[in-house]
Amino acid sequence: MKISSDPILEVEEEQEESIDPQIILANERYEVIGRILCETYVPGKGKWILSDMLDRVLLHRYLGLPIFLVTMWAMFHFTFEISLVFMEMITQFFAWIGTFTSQIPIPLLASLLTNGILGGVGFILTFVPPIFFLYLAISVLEDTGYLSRAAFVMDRFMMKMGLHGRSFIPLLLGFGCSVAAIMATRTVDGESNRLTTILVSPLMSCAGRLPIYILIAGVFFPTFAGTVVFLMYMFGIVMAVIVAIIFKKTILREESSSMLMELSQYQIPTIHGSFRHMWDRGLMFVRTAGTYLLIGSIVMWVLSTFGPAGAGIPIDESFAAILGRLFEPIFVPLGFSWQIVTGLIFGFIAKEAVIQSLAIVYAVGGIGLETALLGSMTPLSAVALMVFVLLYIPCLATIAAIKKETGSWKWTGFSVAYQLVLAYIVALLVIIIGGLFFV
Amino acid sequence: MYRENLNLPDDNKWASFFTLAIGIAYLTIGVVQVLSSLQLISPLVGFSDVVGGVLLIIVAAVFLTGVKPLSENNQEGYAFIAVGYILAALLFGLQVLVILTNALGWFLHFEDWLAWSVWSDITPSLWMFIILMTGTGSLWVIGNMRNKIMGVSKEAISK
Repeated sequence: MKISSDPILEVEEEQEESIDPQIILANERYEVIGRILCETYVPGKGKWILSDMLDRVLLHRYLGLPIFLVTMWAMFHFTFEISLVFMEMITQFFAWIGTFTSQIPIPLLASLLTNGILGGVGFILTFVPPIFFLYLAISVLEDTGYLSRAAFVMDRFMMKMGLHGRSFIPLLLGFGCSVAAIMATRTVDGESNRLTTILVSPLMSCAGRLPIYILIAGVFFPTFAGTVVFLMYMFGIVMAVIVAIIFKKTILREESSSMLMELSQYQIPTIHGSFRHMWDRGLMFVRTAGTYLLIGSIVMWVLSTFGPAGAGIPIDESFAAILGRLFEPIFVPLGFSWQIVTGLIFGFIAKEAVIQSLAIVYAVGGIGLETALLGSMTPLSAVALMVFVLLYIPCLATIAAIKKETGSWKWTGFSVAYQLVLAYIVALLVIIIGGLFFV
Repeated sequence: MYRENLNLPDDNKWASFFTLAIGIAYLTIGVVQVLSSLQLISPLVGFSDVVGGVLLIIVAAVFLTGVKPLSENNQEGYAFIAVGYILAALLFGLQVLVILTNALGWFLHFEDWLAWSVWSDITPSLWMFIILMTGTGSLWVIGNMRNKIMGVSKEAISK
């Protein structure tokens, strides 16, 4: 141990010890970088100034937010509209395979392969194109340097809810995956700010919710489906802002710090880089489909095919129906049938499982998903369902991430409970307020 | 500050006028699209998306915000022109992709695309950008010709 006779030096050493070693390391690193740059770097004026020039508008006090909204709309419009034809190709492919599997002479095996695996995993795989396109759009935005600007644009709004712009980056990453968003909260300063960001991150629409929006919007609002999907994502941001304001004014009070953030200059994204990012992230979805969702689809098929009376019973007497009917009374005000309730229960594993379960339940029951949805719920209930899926309980992986990052079962439990209550109340408000205007 | 590094023109008068014209055009079409989609005026073909109209108004706002600095000979106005072009190009590019993928669906005879027609995807964001680029190209050609003629006449005088 080092001993110093100078009391001032001792105090300085104590202060240094109390500072986070990461900060000391970062400061030292920047000093070294600064010294090297002073000796070697000649700034390229033209390129930097062009980037600076774009920032005058993209970070403009009044235009910054509308431009951000245009960019977001373009991203979701691209995701939805462009992928439709590719989704149809995959649907046709699985329908073609289904013509063979349905011919298998063993009825249970034919049903498992056709209704369970092809109807479940095959159906969820039709959403690979929009998810890959969404990741491509996010990658392009990241690579251009615009995504970090979005945090700056949102800083004023984040300050109003007691957070700072840096919290918006995890929230934006939540468009891809809530787990990534929660991990990214490590960059947020202040325990209270970080905890608030962790709690509101699952409210951002992750890629797992996208198939539900695409399906529901496509069935109930075909003319404006792309815009409906965009509005759901925006609604997620709005809810995150409102909930964060409530948390910061009640249970998580703390002074907000000002935002200091480095903005790299704009870059033209490379095709290789953007597609590489898209592929790496999109592959996670395919892996989920090949593992958890495959197991989930088999479990769902078993629950839909078997009941207390054995196999081959009507769907209304299956274990899935018993499970759904157990909780159905709670969801009667929202207009959700037992099939949807069963789907929502399975959505706890992964959000994609909601429509996968619906597809299996209806397939085993011998009805097409779109026809069944149109026949079983009103457009208002369809909106309530999208809102409920947006806000309710995060998936299992997200819960594990929350536990890991907060290190507390109390906050993890709180996250699950508040989201369930919030989802129910907001969905109910959709039914009540919407009912006043549209019925 | 920008002019030296980005090779911007010295005289902003024409740029200011052109930006004002583009801004007003986008604003007018955007407002018409919003009104048409909300059925406050008689519906027009391709004007059915209210959000599309709002987006055109935002593009117009970017162009129109650049008019004032340009009229004051402030080069910052060019930043608004640049971003306005980027946004207009983004909306145009997106619509082209929509047309191409819909055409693919129609070509493959998929059920949902059987009744598709290219006219249903011709939206204001598409043809406004074509008009914008045609206008920009024309001005560029005229500017180049003017410079050549002026350059020739100056050379003749100096001889």
